[in-house]
Amino acid sequence: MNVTVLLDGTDEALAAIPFAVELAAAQGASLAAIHVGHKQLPDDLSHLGVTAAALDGPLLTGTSEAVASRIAAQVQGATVLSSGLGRRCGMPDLPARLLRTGEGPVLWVPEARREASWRIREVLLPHDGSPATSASLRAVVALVRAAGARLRVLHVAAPGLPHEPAFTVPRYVDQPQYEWPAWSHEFLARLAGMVPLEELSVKLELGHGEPDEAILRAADTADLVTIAWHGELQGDRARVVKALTTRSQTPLLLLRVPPASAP
Amino acid sequence: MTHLESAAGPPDTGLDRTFRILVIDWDSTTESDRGADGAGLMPTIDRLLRAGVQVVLLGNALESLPRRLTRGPHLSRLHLRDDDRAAVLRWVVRILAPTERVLLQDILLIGGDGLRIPEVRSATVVAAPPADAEGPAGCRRLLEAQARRHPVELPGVPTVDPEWLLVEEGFEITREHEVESLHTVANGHLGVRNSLAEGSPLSQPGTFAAGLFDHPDGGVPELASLPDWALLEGTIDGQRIRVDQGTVVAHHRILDLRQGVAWRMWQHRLPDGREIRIEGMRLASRADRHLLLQSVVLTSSTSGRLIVDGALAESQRVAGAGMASATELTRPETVHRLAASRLSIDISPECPLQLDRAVAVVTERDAGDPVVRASAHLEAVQADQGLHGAFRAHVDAWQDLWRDADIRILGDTFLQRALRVASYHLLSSVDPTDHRVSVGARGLTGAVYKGHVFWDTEIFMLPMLTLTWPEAARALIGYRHHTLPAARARAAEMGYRGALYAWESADTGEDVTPSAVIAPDGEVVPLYVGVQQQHISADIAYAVWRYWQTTGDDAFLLDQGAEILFETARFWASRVEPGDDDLLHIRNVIGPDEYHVSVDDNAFTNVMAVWNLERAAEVAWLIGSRWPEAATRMTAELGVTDAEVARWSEMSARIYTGFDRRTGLFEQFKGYFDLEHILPADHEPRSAPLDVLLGRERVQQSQILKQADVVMLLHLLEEWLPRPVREANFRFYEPRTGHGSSLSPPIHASVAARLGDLDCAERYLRQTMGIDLGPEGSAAGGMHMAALGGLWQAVVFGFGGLELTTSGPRLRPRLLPGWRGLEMQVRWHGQRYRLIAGGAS
Repeated sequence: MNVTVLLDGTDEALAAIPFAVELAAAQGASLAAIHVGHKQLPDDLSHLGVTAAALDGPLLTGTSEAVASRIAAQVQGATVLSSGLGRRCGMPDLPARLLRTGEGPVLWVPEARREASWRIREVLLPHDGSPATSASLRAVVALVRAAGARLRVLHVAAPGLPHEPAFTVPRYVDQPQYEWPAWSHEFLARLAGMVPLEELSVKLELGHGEPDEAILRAADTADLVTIAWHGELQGDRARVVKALTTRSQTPLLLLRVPPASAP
Repeated sequence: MTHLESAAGPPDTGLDRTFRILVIDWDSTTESDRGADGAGLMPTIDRLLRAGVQVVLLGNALESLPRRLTRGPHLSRLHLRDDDRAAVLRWVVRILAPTERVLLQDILLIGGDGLRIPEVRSATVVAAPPADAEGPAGCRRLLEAQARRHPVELPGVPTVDPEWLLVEEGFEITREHEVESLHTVANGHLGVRNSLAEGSPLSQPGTFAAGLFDHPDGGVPELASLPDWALLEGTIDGQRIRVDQGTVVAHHRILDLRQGVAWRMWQHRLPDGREIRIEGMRLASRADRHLLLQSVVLTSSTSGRLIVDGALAESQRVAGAGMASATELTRPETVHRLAASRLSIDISPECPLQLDRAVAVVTERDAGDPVVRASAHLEAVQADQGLHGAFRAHVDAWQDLWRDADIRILGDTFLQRALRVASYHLLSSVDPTDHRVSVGARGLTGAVYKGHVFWDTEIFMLPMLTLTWPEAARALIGYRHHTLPAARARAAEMGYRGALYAWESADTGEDVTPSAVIAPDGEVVPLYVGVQQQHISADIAYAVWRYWQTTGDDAFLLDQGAEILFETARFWASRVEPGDDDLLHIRNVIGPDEYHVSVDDNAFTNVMAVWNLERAAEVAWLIGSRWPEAATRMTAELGVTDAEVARWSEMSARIYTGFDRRTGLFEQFKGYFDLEHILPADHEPRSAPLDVLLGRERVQQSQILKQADVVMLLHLLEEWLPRPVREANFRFYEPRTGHGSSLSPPIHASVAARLGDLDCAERYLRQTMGIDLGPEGSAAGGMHMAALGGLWQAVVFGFGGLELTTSGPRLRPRLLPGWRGLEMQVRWHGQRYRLIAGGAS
């Protein structure tokens, strides 16, 4: 299992390094790098917790399409990238392409984040109650457990009907004093039925309104947001991913799930 | 640990082996067999037939047997012969035994000297003449001993008709809590969620005893959960036997509504590749409210060491109850009663095993030490009936219940099944012998509502029971009489007279409603329902009066009913306040529509108060004229005077109801018409309640209703409200109702059907059926007992158009297209009526 950080010689791309370091540490993975467009590193990277030698990876050049497909072929494990990757080397659409083509997890770091270190203390898992989101649960819980973090599960009571059968808020709340605790218990019990949650700090939250807005609000106070998705940036079902990649300042871990069950 | 290899077997009597043909000679005309209990033998013979034994019955005392045996191919092994004994025996030896490939030494003759003919003697047949020594009792023991030698046969088989079955195919872990609720077995005293015996990551076993509550410090009483008596954790050669370990080959769980039995058939491939097959059943005996039964048959494709853990043999005191369990292990040729709660035994394909567990539960409410009583009860069951006898008694008891309670709908299979599911759970929830307990919002199917009792019982569940099982209905009303002192105290605490029943009550009748709830969004929501939802007192009075009206149970009226009617009327008489308009008002309440709190003059509350006062006065005058002695007693004991009764009548005429004669509308509460008009239809489709989507405050400022409120009035008081009034109010309020409560759709279905709007009625009927049977997972915490009762009412009162006239019940049906007929039984004034609509018969 590797964690591969993508660099392009810019400060924006370098800012992804602390996130890659933490992700690799949490997962017990080794850190690697792939350079796109330019291979240029500062002499001293100690403030980011790595050495230049550790980031001595291959350089990929060409069109963003070609680079994206070569990265997808080379990376074994998670990819970490800055949302500003490739902009200064003629590949501004590279991050979006990587989201679509990458088979493994992708950690999306907002380019404005410039801290020297990052810790995963609180992970936000937006969960629409669907099997697709649950398909990513094992990976999320493993990460939370490895990082010693807290898990916040956010369910948004949204207008309309779910796109697929899902365990969502109760249609009938006969007596809220019993219905809401029971629903919370059931929601978490179903998760625990799929992946053991023992000895984890898990909290269920209920959001209101449109899911993208509710998740954005909740993301503000998390260290990491995880989303299960199918890799398509078109259509309403990717609205949440779009909102988080364009408007959130919280790193986003995208976990690919099979298209048939993805939101 | 029980090591069967070292267990001592029974003494060798020559009969301690398996016979494959039994010839039984039982002639009731002989002195020794006269008075024999042939019925008691039925389950045993049934089991022998199922086990493949050929049974030949001679004599006339058992002629009625075949009609009482369960149907099935096993009956082909039963041979009734009333011709010459010698001829029959020759037929057995020359025809039956060779055809069935049975050796002559494997034929057992049970009877007198008439069976000793040369052909049989020369074939070394063992004869056991019970009449010589112990009579019919000896015969019975002999047959039971034989039956125990034929294991791997559950005590019965599932019903065949799919309209009586609720089937869960396969295993989907996220549905587990729903299945546990849906397939609960209960008998009104004990309820058992149908969790997997071996457990799963999501299993949530629950065994509940009605009225048995835990009282946590600082919290409200909670329905106590008893130990998981049905637990069977097993391993074969160290591999756990669980659905989530290995591969499920086939898995069927069947709730047999007709027999009140939860069946399970499970074929599984363990991680090492061997296959096991487990068949089982469990039940809460309807014939013996203290008894729970479980039977499991296990076969394995290869040999191995099986270890089973569970409460196989123990007695214990648990919170407020005593439990005793006994388990019998049956294998070919051996029967053992286990002496420990762990079993370690070798199994092989040739040697399957059967575990039959009986558990008795006795609560501290019953006299004596509960553990001692539970153990004694269990011993008595084992000695008198055995598992098979107890099974049969249970099934018979359910048959008796269904005789009165079943409703047949021809042409709508899904509704037919849903209606039987509803009736099954309602019937399962009530113990007609115990007036100290009532039915909680989730019955005995789950602990989510902590077993608390609401108006659900009287308004939603009781109509079904009053009309089909009045003894049970009376017990439930008895709970309200039993808790009347608490209701009186509550009224007094709040500065009123009479009785104010608790919005939520448990064992004592004191109010146990929490004062706030923390929503999942972190908001602390104050709850006012415990203080303000006072209509429950009128609801209970309504149920009392309906029960009496339906049953004509005057003794009940004089002993309990009138007292409840009077005390609740007293409450309303003290609760109303005079207004500037010279009318009486009821302020600061919550009606059934719980979206609007602290309102004044809720129409439902006020009209029900009027109704309560009127009926109390009516009953007081009736008792005074018809039972003057009782009236004198009530005057002495309750202080009810003619002046007070007259005052009730006078006040009932002055209470503000919000009714506008010009429009024919009730205003749901003062100021309702001025609220923002938001139509729930504008927010469809949706899966969440409107107060969640729009926010509580916005909904409170709007005309959106949580559930039937004025419409509930139309449902309850139809005969007092002219059709134009019902029509106008339904058309006004129905579009404004968000149905955020499961109690709402069935009432709308019923009212719409009675108004003849069948499209609307059907829509709500289907919505009601989906509450527990739909895919949303609503049943996970327990069945919605009120919605189940509401479904029954929608069919009976709405589509069936049941009316209770002075000359008896009658139907004015409004059947849906596609329904070929509807047939039901109701009990009215001690008589049973079979009512048919369409071509049901």
